[in-house]
Amino acid sequence: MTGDLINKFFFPKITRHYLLRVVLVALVTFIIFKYVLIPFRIQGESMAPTYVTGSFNFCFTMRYLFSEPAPPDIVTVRMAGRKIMLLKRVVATEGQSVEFREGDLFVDGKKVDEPYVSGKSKWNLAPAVVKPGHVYVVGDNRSMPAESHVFGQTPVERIVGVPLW
Amino acid sequence: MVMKKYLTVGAVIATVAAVYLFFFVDWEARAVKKHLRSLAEEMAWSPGESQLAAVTRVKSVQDKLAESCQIDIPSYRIVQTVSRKDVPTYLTMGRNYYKELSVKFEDLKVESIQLPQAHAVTTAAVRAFGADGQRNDEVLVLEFTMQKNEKQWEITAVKEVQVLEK
Repeated sequence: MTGDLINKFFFPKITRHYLLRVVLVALVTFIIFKYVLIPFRIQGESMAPTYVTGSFNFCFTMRYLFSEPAPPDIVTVRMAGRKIMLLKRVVATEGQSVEFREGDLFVDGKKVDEPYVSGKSKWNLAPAVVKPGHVYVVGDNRSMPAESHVFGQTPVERIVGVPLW
Repeated sequence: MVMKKYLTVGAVIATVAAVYLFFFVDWEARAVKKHLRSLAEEMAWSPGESQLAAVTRVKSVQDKLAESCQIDIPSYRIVQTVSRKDVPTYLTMGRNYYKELSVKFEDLKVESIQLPQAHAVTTAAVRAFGADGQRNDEVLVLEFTMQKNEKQWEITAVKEVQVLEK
């Protein structure tokens, strides 16, 4: 009985129904991994130690169907398309003021506790108000000078989704 | 009879393919993409490259730019108008600064074509090793403005798009 099942599984009869199932599974898989769970590999240390270079993840694109990105969400930001994206943490939303003083983050003048940040360098950045329809994103690894770190505000439409884990 | 059936099927397929190629393929967009992909391929060098190969690449990059091209890439501190004849000088400077470099255009999209002009946007993944051997990779969004001149596309402007604004 078991041998029969195994045989059927590995050597199925190629019928019209079987082919239809194969096409359907392939189509659903394609849609899921192209539009819902986009696989990606992390390159770069900007989100270390939370995400390290070389690790693998999926970008879940339906996370913000019914909500907006908010601190301290980690999001993927598209560039020209979705093949290369930036992985950053949301620290402020529209209308909020963001400032760095000696490496500490201040949102609306209040110091933000960031247990996830590693190696704070003494970043100093004048207050900037997040524009409407934008969010402010920064990486967790702040050990490098602010000039070498890619961060700032970006339109919400650029946010593709969140890492699955 | 069977032969006639096959011929009919073949003719139908050929007609569908011809209609598709004529009405649904944007040949200008394909030409723009080909031009930019070729530029990315030519914007590469490595230490072992021969002098002849280097000269050929420089010439090829030169041919892809318009007589005058506005380049605005703050990430590389390049904000200036470059004339075609100055391209070899700038590329030589680049070769002195980076001992190895390669560029790949990902997500290349033609945003609009209104002949004789076209706009395209892409994510440029630059992999580079400085003269000191230090790795210096960069990823940036570039917007190209192109002009069609005597059946040939030429790049008239390259602008970096700020994804994150500090």
